Amino acid sequence: MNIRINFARAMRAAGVVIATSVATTALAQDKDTFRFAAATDIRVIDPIWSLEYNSRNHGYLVYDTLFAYDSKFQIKPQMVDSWTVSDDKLHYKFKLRPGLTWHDGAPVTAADCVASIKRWGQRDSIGQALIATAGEIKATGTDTFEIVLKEPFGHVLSALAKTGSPVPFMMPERIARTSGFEQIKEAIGSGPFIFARDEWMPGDKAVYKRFKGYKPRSEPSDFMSGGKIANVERMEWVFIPSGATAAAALMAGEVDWLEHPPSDLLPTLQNDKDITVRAVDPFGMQTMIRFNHIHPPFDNEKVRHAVLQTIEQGEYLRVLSDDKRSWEPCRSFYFCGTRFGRDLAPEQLLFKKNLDEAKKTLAASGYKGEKVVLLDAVDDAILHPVTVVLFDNLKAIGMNVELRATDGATIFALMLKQEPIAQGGWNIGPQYADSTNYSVPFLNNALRAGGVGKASIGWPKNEAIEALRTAFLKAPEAEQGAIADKIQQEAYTASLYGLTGQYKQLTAYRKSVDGLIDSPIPLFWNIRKK
Amino acid sequence: MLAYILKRLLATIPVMATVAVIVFMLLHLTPGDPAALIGGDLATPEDLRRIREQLGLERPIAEQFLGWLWQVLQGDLGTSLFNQMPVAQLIAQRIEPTLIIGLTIMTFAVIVAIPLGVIAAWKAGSWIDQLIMTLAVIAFSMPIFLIGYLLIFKFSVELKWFPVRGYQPMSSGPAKFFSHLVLPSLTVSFIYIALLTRMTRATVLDVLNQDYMRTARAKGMATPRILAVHALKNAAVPIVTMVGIGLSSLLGGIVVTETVFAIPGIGRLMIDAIIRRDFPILQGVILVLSALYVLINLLIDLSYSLFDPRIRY
Repeated sequence: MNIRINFARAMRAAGVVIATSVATTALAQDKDTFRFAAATDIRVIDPIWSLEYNSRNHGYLVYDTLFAYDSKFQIKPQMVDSWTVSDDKLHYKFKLRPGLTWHDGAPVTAADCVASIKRWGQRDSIGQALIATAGEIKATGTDTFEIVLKEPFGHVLSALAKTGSPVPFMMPERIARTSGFEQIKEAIGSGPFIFARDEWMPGDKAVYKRFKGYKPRSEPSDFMSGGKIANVERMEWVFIPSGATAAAALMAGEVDWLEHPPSDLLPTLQNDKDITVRAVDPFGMQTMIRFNHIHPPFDNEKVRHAVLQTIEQGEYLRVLSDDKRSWEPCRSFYFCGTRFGRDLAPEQLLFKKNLDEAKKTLAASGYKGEKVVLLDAVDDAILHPVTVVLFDNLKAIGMNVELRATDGATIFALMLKQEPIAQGGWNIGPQYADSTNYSVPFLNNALRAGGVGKASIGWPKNEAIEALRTAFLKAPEAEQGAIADKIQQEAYTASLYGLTGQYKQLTAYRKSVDGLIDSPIPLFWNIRKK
Repeated sequence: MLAYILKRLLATIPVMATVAVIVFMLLHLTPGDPAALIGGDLATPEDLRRIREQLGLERPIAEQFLGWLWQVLQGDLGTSLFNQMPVAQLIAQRIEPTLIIGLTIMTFAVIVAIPLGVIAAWKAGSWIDQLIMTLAVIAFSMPIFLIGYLLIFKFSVELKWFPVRGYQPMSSGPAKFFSHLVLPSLTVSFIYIALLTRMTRATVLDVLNQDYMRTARAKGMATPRILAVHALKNAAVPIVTMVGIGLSSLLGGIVVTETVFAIPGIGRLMIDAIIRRDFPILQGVILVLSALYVLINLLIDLSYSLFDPRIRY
């Protein structure tokens, strides 16, 4: 009898716990807090010092920019109210919008913006080019500043509006005076959300609160431009390392938006009546094959060409998703669907898998069976499957391939090594990038072809491409498209790197979420919870 | 006893110093470059050089080690390479969930497993014993992540009884605190219940076959008293050792549970630091965990005297 009574008590107690738990879960669905399950954790809060995508994404919440792109890739003023360009295109004068303030309450001044441009210019390639071309960047009043150029530079506004890392975010002068190679300690911006540093738990969550002093533009929100209105009081970025747990949290209503749902759970999420699954990034990721151009055998253009003859993009894309709607072949070095993304690939050269032709090319190249080290980041859901396909294709044409499989962090460090194979170097490896930098000829890092010290990993050397990249930088807008096309043609001819297609990462969010902006970068203004 | 405790505590210093040297050297010999992770693929070699310089990674390893050691001796565990937060602060943030969940798991395991083990020993060879041992084998064989996901999908997604993820400190209120504790604790408890049940059964069975137990039964002592007072007390030392080892291994090994339930614990902090090559965090975590292991072992040793009057320090 006693046992029964105790059991009944225990059940009642359990009921209370369960009821309170349910209440807790319900509380988690409040309308004023938006929870975003980010694909990666925010590790660094300085979006100029760190070029990581998540630092940039954090930056868009906290900071604002002088100019911004709209959804038609037109440049629109953002913090800037008005501007003029002299007839000789050498004097740019800017006036800031009235009433802009920093999160610490101080007014935004022209001196703040000048210091911010200079700091960003230390880290960004187009920023460096702008600073080098500028004779002077100076404040001419409290809310006016000017950039005086030594020679015409066709990208002043597009540089200030750029969306790829590092973005020219504006910061108070006292913070922006920090060297671009030294991390800032404070996250004070003039953007729509304030970073709650005291609630930041790296590896778990970052919290942002609505900035009541933010003065949005009057135009409606349009991609990166227009009114960036914060509709929720609190924004929580949570990092959930397990994809299955993240999906469960979305289904249970504990998070509102899951950036990268695991592909094996997509059907489950799609069948959930409360969840929308779609690609909010209109362009997705480009996957590519990078060669190490400074060591045999890929210092030989014909060997690179032989590898490109094995590429059929569908083969690489199918391993990323069996849903054909989430990928598209793209034979452009810039993202298909963007301003310069034209398919100019010569039919006979690329993208029709022809192993016999590839073998012939390889035989004619003089390849003598040298060892080829292929890098395999086994913990990367995109790189690893692509590597497996590449491995099979290299073997199929008779290359002596050795797979170097390890974690992504080690692979990334290995890719920076310029030593030959015998000293731990590498030959070939896949990579991926988003559209924010890779859709613009000058910013596409894989197209840098200045050799060691002046190119990115793989260090290709091609004077024609380099000359065209320089010309692109100086060209007025009307001539930029033609130069971009020429860069592509040179890159195809030189077999600079292999294009393996464009993959759209699907994202999942609860149907109670309204106003999500289609973008390669997760954006949080304009979002509302119904 | 005080002298013994002091002696044991002093003995930890060379152990921890050795651990520190080995960890530091191993980490710096491992391939991987934090500057590369920070700079991304857009960084030029010059960018990377300057980032390394700012992080102090350009200095010789010996100089870096001595610098770090000097900091540690002054009570400063250093600063994260990435987020610029003091390592001590990061560890303080993360140690609470791991300790609380670890203690909950072990408490739950002890409450369930010891009676089960005693019953199994008492009824050795019967169907009850076989049932308990079969369940223990099944529980021990189930992968933790599988149990975790099954519990999440049943009790969080379907029934919405418990939250899927995260940890709430006690200060957030008992309801939040307990509701976040139930599933992660339950998930790992199965394994420790299985382990402790088998261990208790074996040791109690051994005690039950001793002459003094036969004497106690012959004198007409009631079975519950024989089991609880005589058998269990005499079997306690190996069981307590097992509990202590279990708790020690939980602190560093709870990472799967922390990952499945997205709990910001010390295990995940350590794994994240390994992935990012955030050396100061990793060094700090390993030092703190080493100290905790030493402390737990000391407590286990001291507890022996409670159960066995022959043991004195």
